[in-house]
Amino acid sequence: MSVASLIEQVATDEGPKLRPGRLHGLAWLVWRQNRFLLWVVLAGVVAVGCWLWYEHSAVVAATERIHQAGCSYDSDTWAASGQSCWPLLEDVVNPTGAFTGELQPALAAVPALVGMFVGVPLFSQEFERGTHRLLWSQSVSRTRWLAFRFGAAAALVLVASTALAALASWFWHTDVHTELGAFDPPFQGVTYLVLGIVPVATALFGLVLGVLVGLLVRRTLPAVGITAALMLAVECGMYQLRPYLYPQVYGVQPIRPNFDTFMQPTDAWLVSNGMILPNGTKVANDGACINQRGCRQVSQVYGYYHPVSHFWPIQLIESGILLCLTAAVVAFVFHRVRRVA
Amino acid sequence: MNDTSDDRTALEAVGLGKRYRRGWALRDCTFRIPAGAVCGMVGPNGAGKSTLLGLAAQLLTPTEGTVTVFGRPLDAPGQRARVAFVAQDKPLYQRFTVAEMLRLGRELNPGWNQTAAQRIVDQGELPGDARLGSLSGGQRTRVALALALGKQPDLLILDEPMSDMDPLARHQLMGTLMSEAATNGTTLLMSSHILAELDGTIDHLLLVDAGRIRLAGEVDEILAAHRLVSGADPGEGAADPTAGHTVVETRRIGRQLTALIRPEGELSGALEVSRPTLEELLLSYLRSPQAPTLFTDSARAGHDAAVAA
Repeated sequence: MSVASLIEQVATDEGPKLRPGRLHGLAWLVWRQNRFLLWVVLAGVVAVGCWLWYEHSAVVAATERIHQAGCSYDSDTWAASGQSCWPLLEDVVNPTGAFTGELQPALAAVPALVGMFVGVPLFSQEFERGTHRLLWSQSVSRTRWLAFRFGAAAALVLVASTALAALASWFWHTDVHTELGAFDPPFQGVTYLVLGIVPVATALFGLVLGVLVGLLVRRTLPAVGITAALMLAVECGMYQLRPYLYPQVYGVQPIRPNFDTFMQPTDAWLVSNGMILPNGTKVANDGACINQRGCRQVSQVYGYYHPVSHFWPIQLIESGILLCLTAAVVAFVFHRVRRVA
Repeated sequence: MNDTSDDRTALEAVGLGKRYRRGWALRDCTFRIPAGAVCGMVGPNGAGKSTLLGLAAQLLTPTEGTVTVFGRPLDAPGQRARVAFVAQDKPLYQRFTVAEMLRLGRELNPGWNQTAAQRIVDQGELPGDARLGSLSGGQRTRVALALALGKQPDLLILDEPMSDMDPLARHQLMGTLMSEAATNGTTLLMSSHILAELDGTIDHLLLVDAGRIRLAGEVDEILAAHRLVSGADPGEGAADPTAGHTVVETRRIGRQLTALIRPEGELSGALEVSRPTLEELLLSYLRSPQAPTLFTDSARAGHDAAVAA
């Protein structure tokens, strides 16, 4: 079902003059003002989907060839038959590397772009052209107008960001996070931001932040810049906060030959680690220990980490925080729009 | 619901004031515009005209005081449909076609009259598929007015409506506006700093100057209350021939004295007396900020309540 027909379904409160198959009232205005944006967003999502499907097919075919050639990553045969196996692996490494190196950063920027180019213009373009005075002189109230205008934008962002997150999660699970794919643990900065539900919550937050800045700043260009800066600050803040959203696991390991640091489990996020001195004090692994007397007798290392099982709890908590902030901003915008001139 | 609706009062302001960051734009405005009036709001640039119209259209929130339309606040249910407003810069969506702009009016206003709106657009020979961005200033004004009239408001507020129209189109559009207003009993409130635009069309006047109302009421009544007198200047110290009357402005040219006064009884026989034109009267008031204000009975807030009591 297209978004247009979804909007159409919402517009069922315009009374008897409603003719089937056509948009009416505010739904028509919102459609008329945003149809270009709608097509751009849909085209973007479809393009990402097609590209990932194409790369997925390439990875599947390459994996098939690798298995047929008898190359197996988990045994010594790889090293033995390395000459013929390595070139085959390239056909897996290249597409998955393009995903981690190019698509992931682009997807991670989507929430900021949503704020800058969907959120900000919602108010700032009306203010810059004075058309808010036209709109708010019609018979519909400002809050009703905002509910439609904002609701449509939120629905579009919700649908598009959910589709992108689902596509990225699918490709990551089936093609990237495999024994042959690129090394890309789920907690890694950009990877975490495009998997699961956090990208959806961040995109919605980006939208309302852009709307708020557009409402307060009133001019598009400065508002776009301020929104970009604020989104960067929020993402950095979230990155700092993220390790503490859920209790970390503490682990102790004996020092092994050639390994004097803590080894976290596969795909876990090592938040901090260090050495345990014979007297029981912990020394963070930042070089401070080198000159200390006790360091030579160290036999144990410690680590605080998030195992991969913490991925979903952390995603849920972070999304909850972002959605609470989103709700607060929405409430403020609806309150403020009644008094703005 | 507490029904305070009042069909005889189109607009009433009590103690209305608006303060911006740079200071008060409007202060202590208390007046009334009776229903059916064609009211012209005049005053110099920066006098507070647009602020007052913005408050009446509920685009601005008053800092103090209240404004009501037909006896009820503007945010009461159904009130938005009764008031139409055209801002000074005639804001329209530049990428919309004329037909789409009229459709906006139809979709967002329950009482929309497509025939009335279409008539005004057709009068200007504007094609429906023309983009607003490609139209001239005067043509955009026409579309903005079509949008406002199509709403079939009871109160139509226009901020400098004809400022960018050529004289012919202005005359024609003003005629259409007046006949539409007369047919539907619409109250018109329009601001202008071009007196010629208003003279002969308006029957009520609101003079706004430095954020205050200085004259309000029927044009005829205001004009009738004033006299333009002239005579030989008796000079300093001699008895002033205008003494005993309310003097708006006195000008001395050579040994000749000219004054605009509100007579408070018999006029001195030594004076030549004539009736001022609207333009002479307004200019006199604008030149004399100290001149006392004048409100006719119908322009006083609470007029109907007083009559009923």
